[in-house]
Amino acid sequence: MRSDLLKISLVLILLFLISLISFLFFKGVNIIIYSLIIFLVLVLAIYLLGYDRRKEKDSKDVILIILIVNLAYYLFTYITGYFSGFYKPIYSHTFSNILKNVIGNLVFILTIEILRKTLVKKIKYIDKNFKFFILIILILSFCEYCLNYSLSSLSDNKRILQSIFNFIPLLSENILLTYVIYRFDITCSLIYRVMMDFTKYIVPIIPNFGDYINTVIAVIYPFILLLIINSNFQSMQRKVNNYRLDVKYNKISKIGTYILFVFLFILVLLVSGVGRYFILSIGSESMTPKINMGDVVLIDKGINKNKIKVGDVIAFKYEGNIIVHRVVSLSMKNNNKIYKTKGDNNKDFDAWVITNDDLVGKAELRFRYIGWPTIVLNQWIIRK
Amino acid sequence: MKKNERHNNRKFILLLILILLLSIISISIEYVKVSNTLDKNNDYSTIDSKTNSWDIEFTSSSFNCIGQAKVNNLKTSSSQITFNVTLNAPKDTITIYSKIENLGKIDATLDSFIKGTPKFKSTDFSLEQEEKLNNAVSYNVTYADGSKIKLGDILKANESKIIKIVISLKENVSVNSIYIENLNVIMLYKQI
Repeated sequence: MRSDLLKISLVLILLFLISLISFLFFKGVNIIIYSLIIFLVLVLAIYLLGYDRRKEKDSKDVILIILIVNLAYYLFTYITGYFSGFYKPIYSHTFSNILKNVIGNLVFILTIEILRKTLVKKIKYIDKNFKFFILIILILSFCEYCLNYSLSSLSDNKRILQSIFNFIPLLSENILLTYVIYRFDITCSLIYRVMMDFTKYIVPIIPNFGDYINTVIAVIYPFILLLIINSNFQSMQRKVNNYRLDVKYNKISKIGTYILFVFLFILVLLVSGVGRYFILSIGSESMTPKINMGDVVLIDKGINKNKIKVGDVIAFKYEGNIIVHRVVSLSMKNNNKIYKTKGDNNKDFDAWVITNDDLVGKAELRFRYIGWPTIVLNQWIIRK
Repeated sequence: MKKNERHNNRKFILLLILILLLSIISISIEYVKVSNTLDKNNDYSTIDSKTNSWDIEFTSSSFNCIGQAKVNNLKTSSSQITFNVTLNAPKDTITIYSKIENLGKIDATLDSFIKGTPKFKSTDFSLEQEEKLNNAVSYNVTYADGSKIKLGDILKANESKIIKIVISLKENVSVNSIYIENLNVIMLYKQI
């Protein structure tokens, strides 16, 4: 058992080193060459650890769940996309380009999933060491990350940050894939990947919910699918082994999950600004002490613009920036409502006037300090 | 199913929920809009949140002003350049050079080219007066060598092109200065 763990460690270290070398020294590594190098690691892994041929029961049920949930996902996103809009994928849809895009990725996915299966199944049947599963998830995510990023491509803070945030959806997907291979079979992970990763090469339009919601969906969807699969697996196990449900735990966990999803839903709505309200971090001290730098204000976009009066704190656009200042006078010109504004902490009135077209909304609530992480991140990006 | 395996499963789900919570909160922190700074979410080209193999963007910009012309708030995001200009006297000219680079691994072709229209807007003028002022402004976008930008132009992986934007005041106008904000050039590419 100990020697098996050593062999698994060796394969993981080798994979990590290959990914790291690609990340450090190669800009734009070719997917086929990268897959071939990982294929050599796979050959070594099978030679050292063997290939597990055991058939897991319930795999067919899980494949069905993945198919249904993925189809429901596409149905839901395409219907919602009708309201939010679509974008044209950059990938060309000529037959030769579809083949070129699909084949390169298929080779990579097959190699990486067989390698995942070899490692995961070995650990499952010898030790079930949780730390090794975490290592597999991290290293395989990094391996995939290095296919898309290199050190030279991270030329500024914005790109570094973007690459870090693009790692999170990868991690989320790898947790799901490792889980389905651990519990079930490689077919489950392959079907998931083919359905989710190849759509963009084939379909002419993809729903566009904006950068933020697109990223949130890419993170949250594998988790939801995992929870659905796990819940089905648990109920199947209960039926087979005839053990009683821990009612108290089950109730607490259900309530906890509902609360979590409601919280996340509200957070995503407020950050994306899809609904009537959105939140805005304050990046200056012009409204101190009423609103300090690092505070977050809740902006009501749906307010009746005719009801805004002198003394209200409003958010408006000026030269592409959003500014939160107080209305100090109102007037009418050419049938346009003209707002004169001022920051509470500024000596002078603002040097501009704004109209209803510039108005974003009215500040309704203030939350102290919670905007600081965003301010720090922004300053870090801008300083570069 | 053994009792300890059920216990492990609970731990696993709890860990997952914690990771999910942290992930969404950290992504949200990055995407919350900030007052008084750049509206950084106004980006046109996030195509796929998981891959960087497609990466075309304006990477650097410089400008040159003739006469009393001024340019400010020159911003480049992935596929667009935005800027504000002030023109004061006839022949005031601003020339902006911006480099568009294909940093990804896929050869691309220009799919959409949008050149904004200079629009002088003021509450002090009638629509006719505004139109007259707008017509006095000349606005051209070409490649640096003067050649025309056409749909279908090719930008191969690891190649770059310089875009030249020239904006000038053609004739005398009745105001001290013309301020035009949010002029933009958008170039969207797709795979060849």
